[in-house]
Amino acid sequence: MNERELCSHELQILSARREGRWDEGLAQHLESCASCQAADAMASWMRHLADVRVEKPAPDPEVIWMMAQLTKTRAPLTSRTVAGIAALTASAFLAILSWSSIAGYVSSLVPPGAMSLVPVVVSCVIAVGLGAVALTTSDLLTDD
Amino acid sequence: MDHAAFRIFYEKTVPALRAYAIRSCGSVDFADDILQEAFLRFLKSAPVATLSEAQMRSYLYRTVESLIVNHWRLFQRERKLMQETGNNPTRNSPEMADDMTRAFSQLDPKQRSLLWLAYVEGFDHKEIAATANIQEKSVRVLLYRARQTLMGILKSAGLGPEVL
Repeated sequence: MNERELCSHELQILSARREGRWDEGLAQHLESCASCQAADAMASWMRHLADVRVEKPAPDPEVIWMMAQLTKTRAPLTSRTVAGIAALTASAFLAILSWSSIAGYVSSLVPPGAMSLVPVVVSCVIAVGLGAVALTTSDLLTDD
Repeated sequence: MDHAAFRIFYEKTVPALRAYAIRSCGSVDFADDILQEAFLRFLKSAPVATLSEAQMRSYLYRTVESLIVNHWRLFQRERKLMQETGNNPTRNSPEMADDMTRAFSQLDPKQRSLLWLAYVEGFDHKEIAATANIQEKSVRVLLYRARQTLMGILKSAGLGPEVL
């Protein structure tokens, strides 16, 4: 038998066996076709192979589902948080580097009497930024 | 895919997929680890909404196959390292060391998956081609060769059905 001699009835024979719709025509063909006999015998051996008796239960689908949901929701949150922290850090770094020009600009806008309020405003802005980061990351601390 | 749909799909898919993993890697524990990892990847990365049930099963078989191959490479590397240092491998020998598992594990991974998909899962040649990442035209030839190889292994081990 060469490689081109796989019988075209093979799929029909195999699906009939699997689905229990065996008929006289298929039985007659099987009797006269060596290729289908080999496929039929192989399928029978493979079904026996697939019938594994294991006492240990399969992994729990609930656990798999839960693990998948946890890793799914954490990934975007983590990257968003990292981006927020990076943006805040970069802004703070730039503010420190250019503080003299920022102070000059602010003093031209704010009356000299109100200059004492500038540190309070800056502190508020930083507090709001840190608050946003804390809100974004709070579920990471409480989920477990 | 929602939770209930996943549960139904899991219950339907797991028996044959788990048997395949156990027969291929010879250990129930490794097979279960592989199965869990494959389903996790499936839930996280597979474009489930666009896949038919057969395609979802194909995805899982491909993932399991790739994990088994990776695991096997790791195991071989570990064994080589242990032999070089004069220690025994830390992993246990396979638990499923029966004749059928031994015969099946002598096939290369591609042949194992071809035979399983054709004769256990009942995939048609188009589905097999998609799962095994080969051309549909090649399935007949490769399946025939895989069958002949397994027949040879079974014959030499005195395990085959009478007709083989």
